[in-house]
Amino acid sequence: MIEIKHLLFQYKKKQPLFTDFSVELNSGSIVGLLGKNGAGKSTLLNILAGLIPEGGGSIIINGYHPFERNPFFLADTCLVPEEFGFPSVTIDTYVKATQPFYPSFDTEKLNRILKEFELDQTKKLNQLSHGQRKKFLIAFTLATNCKLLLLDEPTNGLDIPSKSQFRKILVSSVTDDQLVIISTHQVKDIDAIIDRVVIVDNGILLFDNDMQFINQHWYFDTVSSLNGLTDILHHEICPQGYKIVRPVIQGVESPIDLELLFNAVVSQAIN
Amino acid sequence: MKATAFFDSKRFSRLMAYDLRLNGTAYLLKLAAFTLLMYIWILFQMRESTGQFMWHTYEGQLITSEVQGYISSFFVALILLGFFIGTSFSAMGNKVNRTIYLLLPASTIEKYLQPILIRIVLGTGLFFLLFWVDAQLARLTFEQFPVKGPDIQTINGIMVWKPDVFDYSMIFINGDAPWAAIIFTFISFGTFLFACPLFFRKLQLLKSILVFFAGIFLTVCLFVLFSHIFYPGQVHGFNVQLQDVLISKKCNNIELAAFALAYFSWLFFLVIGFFRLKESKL
Repeated sequence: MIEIKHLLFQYKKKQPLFTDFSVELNSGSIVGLLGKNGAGKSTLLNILAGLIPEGGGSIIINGYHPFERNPFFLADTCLVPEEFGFPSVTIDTYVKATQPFYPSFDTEKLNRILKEFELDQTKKLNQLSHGQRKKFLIAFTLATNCKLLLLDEPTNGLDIPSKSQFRKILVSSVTDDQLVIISTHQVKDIDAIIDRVVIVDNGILLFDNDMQFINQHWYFDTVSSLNGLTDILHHEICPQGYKIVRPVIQGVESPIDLELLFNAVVSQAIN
Repeated sequence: MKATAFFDSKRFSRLMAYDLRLNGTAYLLKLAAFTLLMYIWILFQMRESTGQFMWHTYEGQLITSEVQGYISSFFVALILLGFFIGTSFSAMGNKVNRTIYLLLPASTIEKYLQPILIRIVLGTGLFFLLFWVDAQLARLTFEQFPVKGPDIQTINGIMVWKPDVFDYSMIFINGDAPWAAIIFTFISFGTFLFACPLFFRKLQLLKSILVFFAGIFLTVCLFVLFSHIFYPGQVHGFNVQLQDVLISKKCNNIELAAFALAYFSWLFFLVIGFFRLKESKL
């Protein structure tokens, strides 16, 4: 579905952001895009959405080159940007004006999600709080049923109940022909819903594996002491002692600690 | 690529509906503000320059001064129309709105044609109509509460009200002016104001106007430079020497250049504006 080959990108008068980035992503998965600040996660989403041209290499999404902004491509791609805004109209008016552009738009799904998020359709969008507007944007994006959903920091600004609602709604509404890419710093918000982890650093793809593969290869644990543990790949101090990553022994799996995994990958303890 | 990827009438009508649903109130408010402002302005002009504006005679030398009040009102209307056209792509002026606009599932040509239709075609038509209505309303108001100063008493001509832009041309140019070229000059300037803001992220309209004046200034400088190169003994300082050559019986090279600019520059501005929008990025 998404084929990125040798992507190059650099903002004017800045260090190159992507020097040789290649990845292939297929439908039917929710991908967590992780990286340090300034690693280029949002830029990558913007490039995939067609907002920024790539500097080199090639990107093909469902047969389209994103920056051509073919209307059929745009009708099947939806981006939730980190910074967003709405006109001064009611939710209802906005939906009526915008939904005709998305051929697979599901009004019932939208109403259901809005109900779960406790959003009143008669309210004006610019009178809602930032979190409420974010919830509306997420609801609208999911209701478009676009094949490619790009979510940039979707849980920023959401309160604690809304974050769990978001996870539940996302998992229940995504179908096998959709690909969702979530870029976030708040890995705990998404660790239960993603089924693939992509980590970018220094302009290259550092890590790209599905959750099953991670489970089969690495074991995440918390121990009170490191004494006697010889196979630790990476460890971090925590209030209970140490959080550790080590190779899986005899197929025993553990819940994945995404934060620990990320730090282990970035410190090159895991390749 | 499918032809419908370039232009699709259904998608275009959706885009029109989208714009009217979301910006309809803003358009109405702008039209209402224009109507009110022009009404007050014309009334003010009548009051301040009664002899020059409201009453005129076809006889004598008064005609030139009579039309001044009308010209100022008409130009104020044109400036407001220019502002309306020049803000066609105000969504491109900030990152958030630019994202929404660029990601809207419509083709570039549709996104480009939509403001042309709304702002240039419908907008211009409505602005002229409202200007005419304003002028008539102002006349009716003025007739109800006439302010008769000493100027009026001295005019013995026929009291004819001519606040109509279409009739006005008859007085102003005596039928000799190159009307088509004048109209196309306005169209070209309108398309410049439409397309040029796409090249800027902030203060789009202001920068476009500055570019316009900078362009004129640089053109004059170029002529001054050429004049000094080709006619070294004949020009001094910032003077320009133009050599006119008769191209046909009625037209010389300078007129031809001016006509070419008037008639065709709008095409140039429309095309570069389209490609600028097509290549726009966040």
